[in-house]
Amino acid sequence: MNTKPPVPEAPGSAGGPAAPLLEVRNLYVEYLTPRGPAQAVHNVSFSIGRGQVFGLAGESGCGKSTIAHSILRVLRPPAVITGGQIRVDGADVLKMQDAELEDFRWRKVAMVFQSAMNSLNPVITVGEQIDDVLIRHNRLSPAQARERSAELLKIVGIESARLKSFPHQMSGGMRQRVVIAIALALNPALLIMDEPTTALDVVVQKDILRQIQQLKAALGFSILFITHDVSLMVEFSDNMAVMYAGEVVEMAPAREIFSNPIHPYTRGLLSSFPSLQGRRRKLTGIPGSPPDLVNPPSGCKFHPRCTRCTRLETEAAPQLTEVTAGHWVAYHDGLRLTEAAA
Amino acid sequence: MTEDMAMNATTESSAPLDPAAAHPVVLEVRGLTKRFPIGNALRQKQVHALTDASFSIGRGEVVALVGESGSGKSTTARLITRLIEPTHGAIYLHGRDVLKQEPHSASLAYRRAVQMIFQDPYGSLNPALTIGAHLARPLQIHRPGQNVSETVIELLTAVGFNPPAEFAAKFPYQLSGGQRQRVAIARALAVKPEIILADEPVSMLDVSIRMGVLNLIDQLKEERGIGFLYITHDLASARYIGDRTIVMYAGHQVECAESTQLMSQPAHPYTQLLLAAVPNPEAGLTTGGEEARGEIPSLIDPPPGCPFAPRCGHAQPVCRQTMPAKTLLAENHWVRCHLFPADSASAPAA
Repeated sequence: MNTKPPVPEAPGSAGGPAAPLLEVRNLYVEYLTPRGPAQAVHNVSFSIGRGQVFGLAGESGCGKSTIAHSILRVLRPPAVITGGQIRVDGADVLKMQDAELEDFRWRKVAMVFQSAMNSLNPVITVGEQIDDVLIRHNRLSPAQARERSAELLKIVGIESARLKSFPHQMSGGMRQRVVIAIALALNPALLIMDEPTTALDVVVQKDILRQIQQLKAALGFSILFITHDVSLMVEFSDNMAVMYAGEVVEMAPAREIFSNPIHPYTRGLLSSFPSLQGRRRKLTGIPGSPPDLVNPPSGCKFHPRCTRCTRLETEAAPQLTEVTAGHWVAYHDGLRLTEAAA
Repeated sequence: MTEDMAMNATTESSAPLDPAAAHPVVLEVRGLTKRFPIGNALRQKQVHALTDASFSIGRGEVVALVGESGSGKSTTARLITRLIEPTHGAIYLHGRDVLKQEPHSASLAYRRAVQMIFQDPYGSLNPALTIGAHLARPLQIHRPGQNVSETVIELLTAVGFNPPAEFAAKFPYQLSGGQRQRVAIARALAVKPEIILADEPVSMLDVSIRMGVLNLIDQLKEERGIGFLYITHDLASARYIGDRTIVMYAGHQVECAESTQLMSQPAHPYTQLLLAAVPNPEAGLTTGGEEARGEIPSLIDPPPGCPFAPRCGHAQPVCRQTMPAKTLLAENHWVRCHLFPADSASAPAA
């Protein structure tokens, strides 16, 4: 199988350093279940330029969080990385030893998890939790750490008096800000955000994302942004990939995906969100449910739910193809493509 | 998607309707208020979870209740199901004062008429029982003498299971989230209810299957004339299936209108803030309009006045003193905000 690794140049980063910050190439991850291996991530490649926001969109079980965990090397059995390469700043992450990993995690790549409620320890104050990271990784004295912790809270918009608060004394939005402060503690080059605002109300969500955008401009980190909310992703990301059943089905600049989606799954996903303006139209969503990854469908994994496919899709898996500059779609050939886009 | 955007450019076109005529009132609540006592004997405090909620649900009408967490949406539903009792207020079913006539607990007839669907389809089904058993139980309680297995098949067919007999024998763990929520809907339908309270019925489902469940609700409203209270934090879905939308903030209902009208001409500053916060891929993050920092105020012994005043850009002294009364801006559109004093009712905001 000859797979050209599709690593699109991040648009707009032409003037920056040539090498992207993060490069994922032909990544394969399997979950070893009693019924056999489930292909959670299947031949996924993408890259993120410096200062860029890259979005991974898709439904639960499509492999987006598995990719995030692979990058941080925090996958636990039964998940195993069975192939591919992950490079951060040129360093081969999958070859790192434990000692290297300790220096790599949080300093190079930090992560904001979905549920701030569960990622903070309920029995110690938030101040101690930020101190912890600084003392462990930066070998600061407790007093120095406390000073820096206060600074970190300030940059996420929380007054330093709150260092003495316990997580349950804060609102959901504040807790998520604390988690972001902890992620930024060591000035990471890449911030992975896995559904960072899903548990929050829309007004708070907008506030936090705006703040992250300002911090990104000030501190210059890159972001891997994971969410199932495509409209939010289009609003927030530079480039994005849409995943289905462990595979990337479409990848392009976020605005291009929004205005010119090609893959039937991307189209279905986008038309699953009702609009706030215009005439009320009936939306269908996507009938059926995501496939069993232990026994995935033959050919294109989306074909049982697809209304456009032919026998070709049911038999052979399509390859990611660049249809216009920077716009990659898993499809069979250009001819069918233009017909579908028409 | 391109055609969607073309659609967006077209103007509003929703059939004008008189809800009173189109949807005869089935359920009405007036002045519904719930306070939860907290603290100890020395420091008695109260959580003002819901204050003075009044609205009605008509036959075949979907009323959407939107607001952020803690705004009192779920409390409203739980009061109507009578899982909890209100501090003040009245509930009328076909004009009958339910709380007066059945003061201690709801009658079987009331429970049959008013059913509920919960948010989490993983928690609301018993893992040890088959789907068939889940549907048979309400039938045995509420409609004895029925041919149970036949009705179970009917119900499963009605919510789109094919083949129904096969699904009746399955256990919840064998179903996806969307299928489970359909089972929960079928269970509510089993007793032929007049009103279904749906508390965030799709928020835990995958994006691609949400529309299927919403379309099912729409279909049941049309075909069976069931009235729904659709509770959600998602304005777009409220607009999608809600005939009317009520916006809640910190336990108060602040605005109510026909859904399309509410989203195109929001009057209350909070409704405007909420609408501006909805992700808008076309505009991007930077164009935000209203900037309202801060979060929902504490509901424990709140100060008098409008609960939104501390975050509101238009707040005047009066806003911190009294809660405004309802002002009718147009037919079926009211707002509770001092920006719209009661005497300006004849001049609705253009």
